[in-house]
Amino acid sequence: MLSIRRVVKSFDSRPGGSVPVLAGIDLDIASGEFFCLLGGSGCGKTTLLNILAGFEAPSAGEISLDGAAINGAGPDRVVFFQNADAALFPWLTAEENVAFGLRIKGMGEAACAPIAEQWLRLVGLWEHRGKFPQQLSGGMKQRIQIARGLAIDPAMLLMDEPFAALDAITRRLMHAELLRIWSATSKTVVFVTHDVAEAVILADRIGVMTRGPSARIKAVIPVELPRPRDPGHPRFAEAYGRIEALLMPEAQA
Amino acid sequence: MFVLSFGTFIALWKFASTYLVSPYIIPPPDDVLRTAIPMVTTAEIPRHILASLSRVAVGFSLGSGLGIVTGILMGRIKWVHDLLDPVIEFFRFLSPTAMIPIAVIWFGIGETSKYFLIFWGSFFVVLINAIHGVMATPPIRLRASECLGATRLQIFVHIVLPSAIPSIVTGMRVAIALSFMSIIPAEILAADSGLGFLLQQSSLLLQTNRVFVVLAVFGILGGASDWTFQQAASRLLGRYLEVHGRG
Ligand SMILES: Nc1ncnc2c1ncn2[C@@H]1O[C@H](COP(=O)(O)OP(=O)(O)O)[C@@H](O)[C@H]1O
Ligand SMILES: [Mg+2]
Repeated sequence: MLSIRRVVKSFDSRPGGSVPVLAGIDLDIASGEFFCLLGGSGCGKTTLLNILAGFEAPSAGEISLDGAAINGAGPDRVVFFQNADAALFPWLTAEENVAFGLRIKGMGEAACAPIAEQWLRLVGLWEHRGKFPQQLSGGMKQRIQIARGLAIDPAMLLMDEPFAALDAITRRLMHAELLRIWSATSKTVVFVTHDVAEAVILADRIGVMTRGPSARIKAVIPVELPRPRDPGHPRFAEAYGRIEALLMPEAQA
Repeated sequence: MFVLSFGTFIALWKFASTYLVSPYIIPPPDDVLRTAIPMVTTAEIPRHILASLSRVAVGFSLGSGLGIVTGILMGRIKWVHDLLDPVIEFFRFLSPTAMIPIAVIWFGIGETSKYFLIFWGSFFVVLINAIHGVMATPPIRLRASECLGATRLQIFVHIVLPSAIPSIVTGMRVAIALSFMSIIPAEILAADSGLGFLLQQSSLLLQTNRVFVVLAVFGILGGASDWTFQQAASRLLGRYLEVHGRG
């Protein structure tokens, strides 16, 4: 259980001032749950994810994972950054990037190879294993980043709009693949998106954020549709409409 | 293009030396070539080349080596940076030429003063680039490695150092150019061998032909050194220099 209690975050601005980004976030995310954080751009989704990752400390409030306070980042919570280009290591090949987390743990090359191969095949990039990130398209880079994070088998995935830059078809395939991996393992996923349809396709529950500054969780909506979810289904449209209606007043004028 | 560029230059040179000015000012290219051949075959030039190049090699290696180590420490450890930065900001504006008089007092006109001056010319530019390279490591790259489980030491070795390599290599390339620019004044003022010495001697004797030979040799040496350095860098460090990019 990931428990977020009254989390406040403000950033210092010019002399004396401070920008309140998050104003009291309360959430409980169950182990094994697929949770989507949904909100307009600039509302503070990445800020909250950075706090969950342990990259930044909240200005106030508490976060604990299974009862233990989070301080600092660790391999039990892997972040998938929106910008895969910046997150990959450009001097390592696709395969070496995927193996990075394993090598760092002290695992030998021979032991890493089959694991890296498994994840490279799963994201469909085994043929491109020898290429460097600069030689891959944006979508391929994102898939390498996903393979790299999954290779170390983290208990929790913190995903920051990972598919925002993919074309629609690739995104659908990645959704299906992510859901398959998630249901086959018992991983907790916190998935940030600004895309209502993406949230409805993926989530067990959707936390809808108010617009910033001083963002809060406006509502937590369970999505009780069987998977795989069909965006053409009337019940999908109904859930979509309900969430969009919550989000609409939060759009920046 | 290379041939065309130099061809045009030599043609203009020939024209100017034949029709416009006295050969004491600009000797014709064929005269210069005739002067060059014995200088090369009698080992006169090679001896001075060797003297200059070995000074550049020693001074540049010392300057780059110390510049890289100091720069990495300053880029990574705040108190080291804050301690050294003001002093460095002062000294780095003293050119190697400005340091010649003190180098002669400290080290005489032997090899050591030249090593010191080339060191002085290379150190600061490599240092500044190393500091920048370390500090400019993209934060997302650091965070990514952190949540993949890298320790502080692993982040330093596997992320920060590789991220700094392109900047360090750029600094070293500039340092090579600066080394070549520093060696000549150092040898003109304080040496009894080397291309700068030869240049000065030929000038005093009004041997314009020989001055031209030395200048040409020096230009070729500089270009060749830069080319060699770049080849070595991309051979050894290619993957860190992002040469595989699609542009
Ligand atoms: N380090 C920072 N310093 C100051 N302001 C920041 C910082 N990081 C984010 N912000 C501000 O916080 C707000 C939320 O940013 P972010 O969490 O990136 O939004 P989102 O991911 O929802 O688009 C924005 O207004 C942004 O300008
Ligand atoms: Mg964001």
